[in-house]
Amino acid sequence: MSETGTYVYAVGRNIDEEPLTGLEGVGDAPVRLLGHRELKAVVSSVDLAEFGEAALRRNLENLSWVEKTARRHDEIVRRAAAITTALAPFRLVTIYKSDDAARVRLEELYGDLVRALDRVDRRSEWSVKAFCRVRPGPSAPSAPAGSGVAYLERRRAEIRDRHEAATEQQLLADQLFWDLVPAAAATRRLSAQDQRLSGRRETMALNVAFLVDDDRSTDFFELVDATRARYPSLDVEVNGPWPPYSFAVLDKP
Amino acid sequence: MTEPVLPLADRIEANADNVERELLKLVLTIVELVRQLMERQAIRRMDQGDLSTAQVEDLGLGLMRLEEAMTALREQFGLSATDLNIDLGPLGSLLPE
Amino acid sequence: MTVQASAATAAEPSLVDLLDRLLGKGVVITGDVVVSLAEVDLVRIQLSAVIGSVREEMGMHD
Repeated sequence: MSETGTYVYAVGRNIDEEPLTGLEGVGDAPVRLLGHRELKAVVSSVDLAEFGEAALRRNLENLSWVEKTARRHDEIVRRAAAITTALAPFRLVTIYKSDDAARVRLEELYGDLVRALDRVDRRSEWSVKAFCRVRPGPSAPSAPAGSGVAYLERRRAEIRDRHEAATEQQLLADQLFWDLVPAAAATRRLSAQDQRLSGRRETMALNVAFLVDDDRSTDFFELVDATRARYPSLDVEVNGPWPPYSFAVLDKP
Repeated sequence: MTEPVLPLADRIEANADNVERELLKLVLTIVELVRQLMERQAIRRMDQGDLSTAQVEDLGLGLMRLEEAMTALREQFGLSATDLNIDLGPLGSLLPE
Repeated sequence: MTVQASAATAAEPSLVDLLDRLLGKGVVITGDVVVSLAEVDLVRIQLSAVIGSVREEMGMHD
């Protein structure tokens, strides 16, 4: 086998290795745990011919490779999250030259990791998105304006109304966000998703990740349901519970 | 790293059945864009007050006729207003309306 | 729980949501680590690659 690296999926504390045996990692090698102090990193070995820097540049341009890798990565994160109360998921393709190199890094990140784990202990991520419902505009011109001036004035009013509606919907989306904040331990506002990726024609006015106590998740979900009724011009989507991807991020290189 | 594929190339299906339809949609979208830009320009000029009433009237009538013609064309080809649009990704949609 | 609640709890993130979170703004790991990738290039490439797949997934046709 050519050179290998150590791929890290997530870091936790009290993880039992037994339920994870048999799981295959992104490179098909077995998933295992790497211990450092009280931390346990969920890892697997990967072949650098596929996961080395040059290879990654190539592979990350290939959608099916990215999808396959992301799904496998996520499956492992979910399995680990299911058997512990606090897990810090890592981003895709976090790879170290060896197990020892990974341990060195865990030591360097120790304080941050402990803080992250404390932050997400017994909590899950919920995604809330709000889309602006399209207001039925004048499809075909109604009764002909009769005069050119009247036509232009009507068009001017329509353009203004549409702009105001969009501004208003954005303000409402912000209000919706604040209505939900009390039910969460933490929030993270994400940028709106590109329409081509979300597959939705409507504008995404809100894209938030909420960190919610697991024992308050029903309350949170019901709050979203009750709240969305007050914002009829917004189409509110809620998903979860997910592992806390957005709340355990360590952005330090 | 390779250059990203342009949105237009993405959206034109290389499929015998609908290549004509796709091209038609593209052409009508561009016509619609020009029509909307002209309307906005006319409204701006009207607001600025540097056109005579007669000029505004002529402009308005012409644009009204253009909108009617576009609607008729769309209906003839079974296209809704939302069918005509182009996603420019981070720039949003080509047609704001 | 309402029907929606059980649907939400059963749902896995869509590929888009997942990539949003797993790729983030730059897969940058430096030091003795193997990989470092420019965030802008990565995001741009992902956009063009993912579009076709998401649209297919959603049964959308132009």
